[in-house]
Amino acid sequence: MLPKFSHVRPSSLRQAVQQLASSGSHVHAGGTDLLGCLRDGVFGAEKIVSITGIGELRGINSREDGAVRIGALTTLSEVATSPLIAQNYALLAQAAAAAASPQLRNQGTIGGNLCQRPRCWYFRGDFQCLRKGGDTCFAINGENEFHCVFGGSRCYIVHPSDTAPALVALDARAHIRGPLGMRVVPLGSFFVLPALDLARENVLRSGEIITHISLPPLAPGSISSYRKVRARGSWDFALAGLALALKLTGRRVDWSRVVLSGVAPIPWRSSETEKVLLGRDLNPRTLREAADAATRGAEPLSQNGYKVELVRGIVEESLRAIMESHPETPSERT
Amino acid sequence: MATIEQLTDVQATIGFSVNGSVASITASPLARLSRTLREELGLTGTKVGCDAGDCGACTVLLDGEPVCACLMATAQAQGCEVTTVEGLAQRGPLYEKLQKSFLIHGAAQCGACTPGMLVAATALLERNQQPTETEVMDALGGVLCRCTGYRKIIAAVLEVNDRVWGQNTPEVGHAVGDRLVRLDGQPKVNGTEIYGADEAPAGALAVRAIRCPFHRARFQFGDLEAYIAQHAGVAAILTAKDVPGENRYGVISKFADQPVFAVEEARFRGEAVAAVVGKGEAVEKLDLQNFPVSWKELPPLTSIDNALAPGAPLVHLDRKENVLVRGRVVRDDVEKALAEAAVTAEAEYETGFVEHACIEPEAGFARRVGDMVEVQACTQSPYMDRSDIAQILGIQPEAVRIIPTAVGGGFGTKLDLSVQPFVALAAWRLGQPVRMVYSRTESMISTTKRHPARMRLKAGANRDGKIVALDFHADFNTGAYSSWGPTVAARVPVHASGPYYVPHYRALTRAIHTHLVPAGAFRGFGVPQTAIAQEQLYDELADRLGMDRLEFRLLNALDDNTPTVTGQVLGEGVGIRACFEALRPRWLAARQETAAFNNNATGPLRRGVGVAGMWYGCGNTSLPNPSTMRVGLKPDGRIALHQGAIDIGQGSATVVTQICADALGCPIDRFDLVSGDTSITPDCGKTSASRQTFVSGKAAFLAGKALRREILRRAGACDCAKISFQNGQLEIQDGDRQHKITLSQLPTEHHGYVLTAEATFDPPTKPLDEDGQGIPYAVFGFGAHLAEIEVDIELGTVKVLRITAAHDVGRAINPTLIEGQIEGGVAQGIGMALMEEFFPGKGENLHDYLIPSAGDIPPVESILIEDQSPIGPFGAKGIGEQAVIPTAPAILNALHDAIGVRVHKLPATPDRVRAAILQAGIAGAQRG
Ligand SMILES: Cc1cc2nc3c(=O)[nH]c(=O)nc-3n(C[C@H](O)[C@H](O)[C@H](O)COP(=O)(O)OP(=O)(O)OC[C@H]3O[C@@H](n4cnc5c(N)ncnc54)[C@H](O)[C@@H]3O)c2cc1C
Ligand code: FES
Ligand code: FES
Repeated sequence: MLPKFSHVRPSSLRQAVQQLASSGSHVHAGGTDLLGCLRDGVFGAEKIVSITGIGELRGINSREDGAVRIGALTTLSEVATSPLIAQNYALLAQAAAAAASPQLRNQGTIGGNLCQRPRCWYFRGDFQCLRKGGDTCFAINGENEFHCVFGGSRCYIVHPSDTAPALVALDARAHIRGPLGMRVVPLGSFFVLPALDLARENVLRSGEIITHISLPPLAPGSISSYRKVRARGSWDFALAGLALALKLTGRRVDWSRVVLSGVAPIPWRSSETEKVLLGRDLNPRTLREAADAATRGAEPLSQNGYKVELVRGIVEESLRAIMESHPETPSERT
Repeated sequence: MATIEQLTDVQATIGFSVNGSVASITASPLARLSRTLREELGLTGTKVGCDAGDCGACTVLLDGEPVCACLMATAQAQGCEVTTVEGLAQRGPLYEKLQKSFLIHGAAQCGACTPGMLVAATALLERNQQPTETEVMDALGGVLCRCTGYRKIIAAVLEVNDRVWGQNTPEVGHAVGDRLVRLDGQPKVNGTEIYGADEAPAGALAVRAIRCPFHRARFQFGDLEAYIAQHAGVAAILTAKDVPGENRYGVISKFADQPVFAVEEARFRGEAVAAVVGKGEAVEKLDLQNFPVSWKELPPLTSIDNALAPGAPLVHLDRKENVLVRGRVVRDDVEKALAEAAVTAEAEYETGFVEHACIEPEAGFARRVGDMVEVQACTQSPYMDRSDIAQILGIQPEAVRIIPTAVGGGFGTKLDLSVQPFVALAAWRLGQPVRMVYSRTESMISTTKRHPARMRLKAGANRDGKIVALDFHADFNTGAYSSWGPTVAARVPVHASGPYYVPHYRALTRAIHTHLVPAGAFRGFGVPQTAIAQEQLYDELADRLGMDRLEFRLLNALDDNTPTVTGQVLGEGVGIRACFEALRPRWLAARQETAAFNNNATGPLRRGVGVAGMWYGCGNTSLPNPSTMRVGLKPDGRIALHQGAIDIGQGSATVVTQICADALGCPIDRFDLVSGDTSITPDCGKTSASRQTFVSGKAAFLAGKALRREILRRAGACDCAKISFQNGQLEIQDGDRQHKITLSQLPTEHHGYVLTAEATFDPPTKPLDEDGQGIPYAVFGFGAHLAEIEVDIELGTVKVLRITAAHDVGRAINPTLIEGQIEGGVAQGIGMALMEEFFPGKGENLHDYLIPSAGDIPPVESILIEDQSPIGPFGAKGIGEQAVIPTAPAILNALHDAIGVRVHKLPATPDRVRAAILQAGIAGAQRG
């Protein structure tokens, strides 16, 4: 028989953390990922702790210091349609709107979106793969067209989330409550590469809950966008995506964040690209160099070399769109 | 695989409101809300297509917002307000308008996606009375439809407020040609339609199959008795030993080779080796990982090359070289003609497995009634099911009754048996009703697919642009069992020329066995794959000749008097030229617009236009395929039509009735349809090969005419008399003479009819000789598509902008339904060209296996050509499969037009397109 487990629905964060203390406990938010994982035997469970009764985990609000707080239980629909987010963090609104289907966005939460498990078809299928405690990554010699081209080692998953790269680009932080109290982790260091730990995709320790995400104010005049390439028109996970945030003077880049999705086991920040952009004018040459930088170090598997090309393409296309919508830098206009 | 519900032992009392009333149920808190609604509350309008969030069939409103009920734990609904399709009517008059709009637009075909679509659309319209097309596409984007191609659904939502929808019945004698709302439509838009999983007798036992997890394995059972004893609620385990008749079935009896349960060796991943039967919940809760069977994995043949390699093991010992069958059509000396041709072109193309992805997974139940067994399940071929089940159980066909439910998508896969043998065998042996519902994964791993094909071909033409020869060789991966492999191997050589005059011709095909899931019938029996190769090759020829690609086709198109590659001269009804000509205006305009776009292109986008033609023989290849229709006049003056042509959403029930109504000269609203139940309705053959409008329609025509003659005979009236059908009586106006027949005074026969007529039609064909010469089909349908696309050369993504589809349908019996077939076919063609490929063993679900979504389908303009067939009813031909054939090659030709590359292994996914671009070194794609 399969292991049986219990289901609890605490009404306060404290109770939830207590409930989660026992091993084999899992947080149940929207359940859109959890139910699939349990059904497919991706992981087992002894206790399911539903956190939907905890009101303080919901909602989006702005704080006095200009930061915005998004409760972990806020649905992707709420994030996608919130005027506050749309005005201040267009990138995040676009990323949330690009995730899954309308139905799933009404159910799925931002906390769950960050903590969802990978979609590798070996990991999700009937394969005892490395990440599930086996001794082989089946993707290396198998069908690996959807696997990673950056950051893989021994295991070649990609991180499935669209909101994660957006939040990394926005320098967001995860506020985490656990048995030892609160801690705050920048999203940029929240995710974990396979080289560090094969069994998990983030730094959450057992018993910990993300309570909310906080977003620092973006410098006035910043622009941001999320571009996602998928294999079909309506919902689909990203083949590759780009979360981009920039501060420009004319066409000169004063600051940037370049984070790729769909190509690495974690949201893949490309500091090399940011370096190329810093202080330079957006022009065809900069675009090309930025695209080159974004693909540097890629190590494609047998069937996913096209992802390197996708990265090149979306970096160049996204930057070009921004370039074309901004006037040339004043000093250059001679 | 586990079910979610079994994972928690605890039961909780959960309260929420459903469709306005309070529900309080005791269930596992993690039980999927979809399951709770369907199984505990009987609200089966909510469909389950995947249990994974992928298809949206289970969409319900939770506090007014659409969610997937299959990923919602019942406990999460605590205190919420749930609205299912059954409750939408309570939300105001908007919904009634939406239902009507769906019906009138033909937005529901099989109807399996319809509840989800209606719920999602209602949520949108409640928020936004006047949504834009983009908003509608976004709102419906989470619900997959495999039948309609979405455009009619989108139109139904957009135009919901446009008119006051009234129902108009066509005048007597004018049913044919009318855009009649489908006669079986109402239950599809109010959630009451009964599909395979929607009904089961109270207390029905459940059966689950034990399936082989390897492509090929030997197996041995452990102690089955002990397993039964240890598991409360398990009543029996069935294996090959328990099959009383023959442990073997197959759609073509000569080749029947598929066991209900494998014996000693399983030949594909997903093949059943045993089944557990018992109380519903107990069986559902079993962890089948512990089932006492041990596997020894054997090296499998997973490709055509493996299977053909010298010394390869034989999948079936009696099939040498793993060849199931060969097909052959040869006309004149092709090699000589190619050697002498002014220009030649050759190519090789490969396609993969394509999954039908019907939104309804296979399901049904069986019960034993005395010495009979009744099987109620979704099927495309009740009479074939009947004979196979009889053979498996070792009883007479008359002892088997097949009751077809509504079919939530078929496209060929529901011609083969799925759940039927398991439920029939279990019910037969245990004497209790037994039910089975396939999960999406089970459906994907065990039911038939489109044949992967590897095609090598060479064609030649003269300087004047005439095709002189085509040499075509194709191997089809037919998987572990024969299914429809022989049909594909036979049909393809007849069709590989395309609808053109090809004087020198050789087409040789083989169906090859491998250790993979059986490939069977899928819309077009191999012809769509063939068209992908042949239509691209003809473009190459045209280019080499420097000819316009459309004009090249027109020059070579068949006409009434040129012989086909089997030597058949059709004489009449060859509408292919008309189809190409109908495309010409758009072709010219699109070529210009595209050239202008590309000349001005600075970014990565390029556009292209492509055209492709097709022909398709209606009915079985040189084999009898009769349909019989019975029509009865009831004492109250209504007409019963025993219509065994299974309507899998394509609309045959409506079309056949339209034909019968006009043949009889009776208003269509007098008709009552009697379903394809084998105990009450004569055999109409299978719903395949685009034969129902043509063959069953013709039978309905003849039956209608026969009943009319009978009525006139009774009245002693002449042929041209007019019959007026009234309640309880008929009035016959014969010149200035008038007769009345009072129906209640006539004796009734055993069906309860006062007058009845039955007619059978079998299309005339002639066997093919050993060179494949003869008359394979009585009637061909013709068509051509024009695709306009946009390629992002940096990303390798392809967007279809517009499809113009011209089809010669002989006579458009119901234009709305025909457009529905065309649009649905186009959607499947887009899938085949750009995204669909099934890998047995991986991604056996609808998020790894992608089918087109609402966002992938461009506007489709259908142009209906009516070049009447001399044989079909009112001149009609088939359309069901025709529609899918030209789309993919038109798109691929457009891809070449846009960027000058061909993708030789389909689908043309971004990675392959991009790889082809890089290989070709296309300017602009190369930076620097
Ligand atoms: C068909 C389908 C398509 C999808 N497509 C996309 C897509 O295109 N892009 C994309 O980004 N996502 C996609 N998703 C993923 C979807 O967005 C996530 O499943 C969803 O956001 C998860 O949220 P949830 O609240 O349902 O999480 P749950 O399923 O409840 O939880 C997911 C995981 O996170 C943990 N968890 C949840 N909340 C917390 C918390 N606050 N603290 C700590 N741990 C927590 C749970 O224990 C669990 O392991 C898709 C999912 C499906 C089913
Ligand atoms: S059944 Fe719920 S999304 Fe398919
Ligand atoms: S009508 Fe949409 S799936 Fe059949």
